[in-house]
Amino acid sequence: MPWAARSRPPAPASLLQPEAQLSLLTAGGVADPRADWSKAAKANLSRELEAQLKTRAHGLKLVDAETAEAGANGQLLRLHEAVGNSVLLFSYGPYKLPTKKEFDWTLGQGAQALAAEHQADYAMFVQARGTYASGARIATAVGLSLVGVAVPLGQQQVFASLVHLKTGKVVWFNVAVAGPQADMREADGAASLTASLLKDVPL
Amino acid sequence: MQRTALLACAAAALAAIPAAAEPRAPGQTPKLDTAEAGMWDVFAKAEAEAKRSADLNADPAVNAYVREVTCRVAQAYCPELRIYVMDRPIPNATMAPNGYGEVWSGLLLRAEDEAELAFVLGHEVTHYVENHSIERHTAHKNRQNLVMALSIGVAVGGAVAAANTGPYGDPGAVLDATGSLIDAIYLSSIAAYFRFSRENEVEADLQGIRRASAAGYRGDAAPGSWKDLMAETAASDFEKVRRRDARLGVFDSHPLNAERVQRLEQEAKALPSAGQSGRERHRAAIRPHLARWLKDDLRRRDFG
Repeated sequence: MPWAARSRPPAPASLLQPEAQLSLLTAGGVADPRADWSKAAKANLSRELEAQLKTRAHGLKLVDAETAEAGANGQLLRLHEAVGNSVLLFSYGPYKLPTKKEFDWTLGQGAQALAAEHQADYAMFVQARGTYASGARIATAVGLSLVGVAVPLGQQQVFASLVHLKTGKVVWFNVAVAGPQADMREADGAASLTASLLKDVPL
Repeated sequence: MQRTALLACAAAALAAIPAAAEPRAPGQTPKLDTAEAGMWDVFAKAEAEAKRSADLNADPAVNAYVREVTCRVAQAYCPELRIYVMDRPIPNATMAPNGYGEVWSGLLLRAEDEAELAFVLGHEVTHYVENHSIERHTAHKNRQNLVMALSIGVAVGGAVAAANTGPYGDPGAVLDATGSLIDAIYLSSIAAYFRFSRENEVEADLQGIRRASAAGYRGDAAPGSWKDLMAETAASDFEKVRRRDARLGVFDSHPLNAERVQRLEQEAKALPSAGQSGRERHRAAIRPHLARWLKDDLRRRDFG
C-alpha cells in the first residue's frame, strides 16, 4: 500500500541513482552478496525509472549518487537513508512506534539545500534489497515441505520515497515486492517491478 | 539412543569443518560472480562512508606515516591496501577483505613506538593476505548447510521437528539473513565480517610478528603491546570493563589472554633480538595530534 500526500506536485524532480544490494541465499540460510547481480539491478532500475518517470515529471534529472554524496549535501542523502529505512521498518515492517499515528516523516527544512543544488522541488530515492534462493536452498525447501517444515526462500523488494525538498517532507512512499515475473536482474523484470513501484506516484 | 548417536555425529561433523586456504597472490582480484566479489562490493560502500566520515583524520603526514609502516610489513601487497587514520579514542585496527583498513587514533596514542604499530599492522595485513574474512564466511556457510542437512535428517527420521535447529544458529546468521532486507541492520552486518575465528587470530598474531621482524622491527614489541592493553583493561575505573577480557577493538571476538601473549613471547625469542624501535619517529608523527587525541580519550571518563 503506497502512502501519498493529497497534493499533487506540479514541479521539476530529481531522481537519485538507485541503490541495489542482492545476494544468493545458500542452503543453510547464509547470504552470499553478489556484486554482478547488484550491478545489473542498479543499471536496469536506473534505466527503467528514468524512462517511466520522464513521461510523468517534467524536467526530470538523474543525479549520480557518487557526486551527490561527495559534498556537504551528501549528509542529507545519508539522513534520507536513515529516514527511509525507518519508514520501511516502522510504517511497513513488523514494528510499530506507539506514538507515531500519522505518516509525518521528514528530512527537515535542511532539505532546501538539495532543492537549490539540483534546482528541483522533489527528489526521488530508490533502494533495492533482496536474496535469491540457490538451487540447493530450493531443493531443501521442497524436501522439508514434505515433512511439514517451512523454509523461507529468497525475496526481493524495492522501495521508493518522494521528498518535497522545500519542506523536507516525505510526501509519497511505496514498497514493491518482486513477483516471479519481476526479476530486477533482467531488463523485462526490472520494467515490470518499476511499473508496480511507481503505480501511484503523484508525479 | 539413535538420537544421541545422531547428535554426537553432528557435533563431530561441525567441529571438523576445515577453514584453511591458500594465501592470496598480490594483486589478485575476485571473479565478479563470487561471494568474495560481493563482499568487496559491500566494503566498497563502507570505504566510501569512511572516506566521508567526520572521524577521518585529514592530515596527510600522519596518514603517510601509517601507510609507510603498512608498506614495510605488507611488502608486495602494499599497492592494493588502503589504510585510513580515524580519530576515535579506542585502540582498534581493522582490515576488510577488499584491502580497505582503518587505524584508530586510540591505537596510535597507545603504541609505544613504530615497532608496536608495525606488529598490529602486520596482524591486520595477515587477515587480508590469508583471506580470513572470506574463509570465515565460507566456514560459516558450510556449517549452516550442515546444520540444515542434519536437521533434515532429524526431521525425516521423525525424531524431532527441525524448527528449533533452523538455519539461524548464531547471531551472525540472523544478521546475514535480515541484513539483506533492512538497511539499518545491513550496515551493522558488516561487523559480522570482522569477527575472525580463534585460529585466524593466532595466525594473524604469529605472521604479524614475523612480518614486523622481517621489516627490521624489534620482535618484543608484539607481546608488549598486547600486555599493555590487558593491563589497561585490568586497571579500568569501571568494574564492567575490568571484568571483561581485553580485546583489540570493537570487532574483535577473541580476547587477548595470557596464552596469546605467551605464544608471541615464544615466537619473539626465535626472531633476531635486535631491531628498530622507531620511537622518535612515532612520537614525531603523532605529536601534532596529541592534544586532540588526549582530549578525546578524556571523554571516555576512564582514568584507570
